[in-house]
Amino acid sequence: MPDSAPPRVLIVDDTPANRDVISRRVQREGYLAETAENGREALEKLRAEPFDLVLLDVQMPEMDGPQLLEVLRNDAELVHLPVIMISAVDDIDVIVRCLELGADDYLPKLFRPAILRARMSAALDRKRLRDAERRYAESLTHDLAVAREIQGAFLPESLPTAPGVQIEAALHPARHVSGDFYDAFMLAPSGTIVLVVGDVCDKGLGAALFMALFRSLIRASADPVEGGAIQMVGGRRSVVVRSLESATPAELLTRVAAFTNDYIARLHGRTNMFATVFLGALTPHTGQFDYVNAGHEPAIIVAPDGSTQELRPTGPALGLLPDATFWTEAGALEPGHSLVAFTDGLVEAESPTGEAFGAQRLRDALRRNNTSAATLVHGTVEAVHAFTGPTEAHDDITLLAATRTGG
Amino acid sequence: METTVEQRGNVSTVHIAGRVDSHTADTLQQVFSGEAEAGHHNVVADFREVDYTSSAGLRVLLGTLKDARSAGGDLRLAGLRPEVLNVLELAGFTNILKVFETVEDAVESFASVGA
Repeated sequence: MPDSAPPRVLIVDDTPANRDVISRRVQREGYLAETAENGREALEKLRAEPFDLVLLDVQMPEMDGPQLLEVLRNDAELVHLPVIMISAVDDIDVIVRCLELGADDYLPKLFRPAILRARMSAALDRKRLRDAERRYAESLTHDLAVAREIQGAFLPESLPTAPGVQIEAALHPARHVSGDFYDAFMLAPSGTIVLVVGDVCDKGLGAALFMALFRSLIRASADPVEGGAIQMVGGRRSVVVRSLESATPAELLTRVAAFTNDYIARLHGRTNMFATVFLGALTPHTGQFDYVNAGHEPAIIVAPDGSTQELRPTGPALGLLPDATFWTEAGALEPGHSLVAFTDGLVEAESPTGEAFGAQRLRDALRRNNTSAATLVHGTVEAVHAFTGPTEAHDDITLLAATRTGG
Repeated sequence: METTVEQRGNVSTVHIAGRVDSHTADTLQQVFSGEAEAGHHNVVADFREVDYTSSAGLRVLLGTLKDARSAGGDLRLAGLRPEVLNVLELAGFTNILKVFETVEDAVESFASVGA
């Protein structure tokens, strides 16, 4: 109910004289009084228009007080509507039953106006509080839904395609919003595909805000032309563009990691936020694969025979302290081999008995699903979900795979 | 997670037991902040009884380390279990934090530089 409008009270009693007396008393309190002759009529009115309080007689034809109460307490729309029972003094067993059924209070038939006033006022106060809490919860839920939708736009709309390479990714947030992220994009002149999987420390909205920042810093610094960061250098644009475009993948990755690290550590250092990030650069036609692992879970290269190789950290998490050093490991992704990068939510996912999914089950799942990037991602996520069962996820789960088909 | 604080000379040792995760990290932060507010900037975190730390716990360590160093002190860790040490190593924390095998070594390390 709007706080300014007078509360609406429905008086349900089969005796006309009782309805008149109670109505007058209710109106004297400044409330609007409506009446119904029995439970059935009351239910029709309650379902047709909003009320703030029901004063309910016990004994009535058609549908009596307890019957109506039971219907209300099983109705999602009316379950919280305050109900005060009004009964003859000898109805004490019925009153107890009504209180057990969820009545808020009761009054004897011969009541003093002051008592009616106090009971109605208390019931209406409780309803106001409950309505305010519900509106607050609804607005939070709405804000989170909006945040979730906006955050979705910080993940790539589509994954890059190139002859000889398949890329697939999935992100399953544990809550409405996530501190995990992934990205994959092709740099225009060279055709190099940049692959990113990151995990911002901690959880919830704070991590989600920083996810947006980390992803944007990485994308803008890795791809200054498309990412728009190049416009910051004004007149010398063409020279800078050429020097960036001629950078080797190793130079590129080191620069992206150092820039992102220093930006977070210097401009956001007081928040102590950081992210572990795996950054890879794959040149599709040669299979050249370079990476920087900034404090992240080792990514895994899966060979056609199911053997695996770990790509361990080559520098600290991004954002810990300024001027950290990152180096790039150079390698190759051979035909038939897949790169799989993921977040720790995957290996730490717990079964109903509290056991972690773990590195061994992950390697087994990768071997079983080692047919394409899509099966690696979705088959592994299915294996994790089968392991955790209906257990509520503790952490976000993100997985990205790039398979070199050699085609 | 449970914590107790022990003051020996100019070193505060925070004994931590249990899981440090997003549910308990705030409590741990308050304990470290309490030491900083009391002017205790030489801090040892005793991890012998910690069986798990999430990134939320690492974030608390990072903030405590930076605050302690900017006040002329330091945060040093002791007694890390292999699985917890692995988490710190992966994220690069063992390069920015001093880690000791025993609490005694960590406490004494402050004396040796006259801190």
